[in-house]
Order: sequence, then C-alpha cells, then structure tokens
Amino acid sequence: MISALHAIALNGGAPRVIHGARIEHVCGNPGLTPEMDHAYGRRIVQTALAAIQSDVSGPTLFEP
Amino acid sequence: MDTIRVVHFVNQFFGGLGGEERAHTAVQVQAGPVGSARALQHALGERAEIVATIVGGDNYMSEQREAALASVRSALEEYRPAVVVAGPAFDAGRYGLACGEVCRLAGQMGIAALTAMHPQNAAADMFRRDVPIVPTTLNATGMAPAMAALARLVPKLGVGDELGSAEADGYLGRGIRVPGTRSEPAHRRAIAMLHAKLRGEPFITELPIYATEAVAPAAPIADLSRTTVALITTGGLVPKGNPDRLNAASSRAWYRYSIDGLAALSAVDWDCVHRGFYTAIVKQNPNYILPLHVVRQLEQEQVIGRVHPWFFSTSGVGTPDSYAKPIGREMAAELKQAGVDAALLVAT
Repeated sequence: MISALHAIALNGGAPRVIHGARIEHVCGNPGLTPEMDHAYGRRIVQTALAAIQSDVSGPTLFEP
Repeated sequence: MDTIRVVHFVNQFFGGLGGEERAHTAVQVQAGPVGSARALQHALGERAEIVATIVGGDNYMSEQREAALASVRSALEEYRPAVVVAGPAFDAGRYGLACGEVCRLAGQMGIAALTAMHPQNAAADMFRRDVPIVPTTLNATGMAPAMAALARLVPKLGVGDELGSAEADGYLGRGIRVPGTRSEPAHRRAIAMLHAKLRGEPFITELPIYATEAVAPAAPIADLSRTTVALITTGGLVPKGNPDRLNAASSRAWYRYSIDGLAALSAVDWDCVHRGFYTAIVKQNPNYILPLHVVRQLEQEQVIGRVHPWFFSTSGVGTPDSYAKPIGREMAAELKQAGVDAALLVAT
C-alpha cells in the first residue's frame, strides 16, 4: 500500500506501507522536472516491489 | 472563580479559510473564537472563554508535522489555556489525525485536552487511549450536539477534575479500568443483558470490542520477474464522464477498468471524482494515483512479469469498515481467480 498518510495505514494494520509523496500526488511530485518526477515515481514503485519481496511480521513502513 | 481559558484548534475549512485549495495553509493563530470556534464559544456560554483559535491546514498538519506542532506549542505557551479543544473532525481522516496530535501535545505540556470525531474515524483508534474523544455523527450536520457535548466537559477539565467514566461523561472508552462498585453484581447484569438481547431490546455492553482486525501479511514474492502485478487505487479514478457513477465519498462500490495496452494514463481519458482531497493535480496526471507509467516500464524491462490488464478503483473517503471489508474481499477474490500474485494499492 502506497500512501502519504502512512501513519493511518500502519495503524489500520496494512502489513507493507510505502511512504508516498503527498496526498494529492502520491506517486510523484509535479514540482520536479518531468525527468526527476518520473524517477521519483519509479523509486516509489520500486520500493513497493522491494516491500512485496520482503518478509514482514506486522505493519512495516518502507521509505523510498 | 476565574473564567476558564480555552484554545480551540480547527482545520482550514472550519476556520473559514477555504476548502482543499487551502489545505496546505500553515498554522495560524488568531485571538478569540474564529470559524467553528464561535459555535463552541456559544455552547460554552459564560463557563469558559476561547482566548485563541489555532487554524491548521489538513495537509500541512500531516505533511509538515514537526513544524506544525512546534507552532501549536508556541501558541499554547503564549496563551496558556487550561483546556485545549480540537475539532470536531467528524469522519475526516486528516483532520482527525491533526486533532489527535494537537491534543496529545497539549497533554504532554500538562494542559487538559479533548476532541470529537466519529468513532470510525481512523484517528479515533489511534488516540482514544491518550485523549478523550467525544463521538460525533459522520458529518457536520451533528455540529451543534458535538459542540454541546464538548462544552459540557470543558468546565470539568478546566478546574483540573478527572473525567468520569466514558459511559457517564459521553466520550469514547480509553480502555482504562477504574475499580468501583455497581448497584448490581456482575451475574445479574449479565443475565439482564442476555434477556434484553433475546427480547431484541437495546442494552449497553460493559465490554465493547474495538480492536482493528489483524491482517496476516502475505508471504513475500520470490521471483518478481514471473509475477503478475495488479494496480488498485482508492483515489476515485474513473474514465472521463464517470460512466459507472462512482460516488465521490462513502462508496460501497468499486469498479474495474481496462489498462490493457496503455503505456500510461492520460488526462484526456481519465478523471478523478474523489471528494476527500484537492484533485486538480491528479486530473492533470492520473498516474500520480495509479502509477501505470512506471509499472509499464518495469514490465517492459522484465523487472516484473506482467501487469494485470484491469485496475480496480473506489473512492476511499468517509468509508466505514463495514463498507471497506466487502470491497476488499471482492477485490481479493477476483485477483485470486485471475492468477494475480501481488497488488499495489495507492491510497490518497
């Protein structure tokens, strides 16, 4: 689960939580150049892919 | 007796600054009651005086948490209230979170604090052990009774009294057991409850169960390059025109839309109908709440096996557990049947 409100996600019991950018642009940042924005989004998704390959025992936060 | 000094915390909407477009507003402090604080002052009457109103934008409070709480701290140091009141936040998640944080901070500073929100606000579970939370309706139609309930407790807290039990004083249970005696022994109360239940009459349990459901983590994926990944969003993403009429809030429904053959989501074809956040940015670039642009690239690079050709969408706002559970169950069942190994869920 990718969310900017990671504290709520963790408290709700989501096992793998990825710290998203912001509520209105969870998977990127329109303030960056298009290239950097894309790279940031890619890093968030890659963190999510790393999370689903990780063994977790309970709600765990992953930082991109 | 001196009048009880109260500082009230509200978000940008209830502080009268504006809606989502002002959600990034930094903490502002104004003398006296402002916005919905005026309703609280009305409910308090002569019993207490709101000496200042702290207004903080929903996004600012959660995204710039440290800076926001530092500003709140200095306002509380300046105004030295006996009681801090935050909200009511109703079912608003970000606002509830901010109210809880402000009250917890006040408590750490030795100031009595209380807030109000719907019992299913995600923040209620996070803060109920530390902060008295008065239950409210889901939305602001219940403003007047919520303010009255808050105002009832302010004088008690203002003179340094402990609150009575959650049941007696009308706040959500904090999970604290206080030894005491009841008029009837336990076995008689239990039998009376059972009789009431069997007759279909209302009764008040002495042991409410609030625990959030524990979710067993799925086993980790061993080989990503052979994995089918599905995308899900609670961001209210729909095709232009919202053909299924997905609700902007409190949705019981979810929908699947094809992304087969698409390299990314285009603003021309997709829209965002979510009521709970400022949607203009996502309307320009829907990939921010469903990162197809990146996931497709990773598929082409064979980092992941394949992207499931359907994504799932709902509006995750004002969604009680009782709505969310069937949605989750249905989505999971469909993914299982389609042979999907993993899902990335983007929550706004």
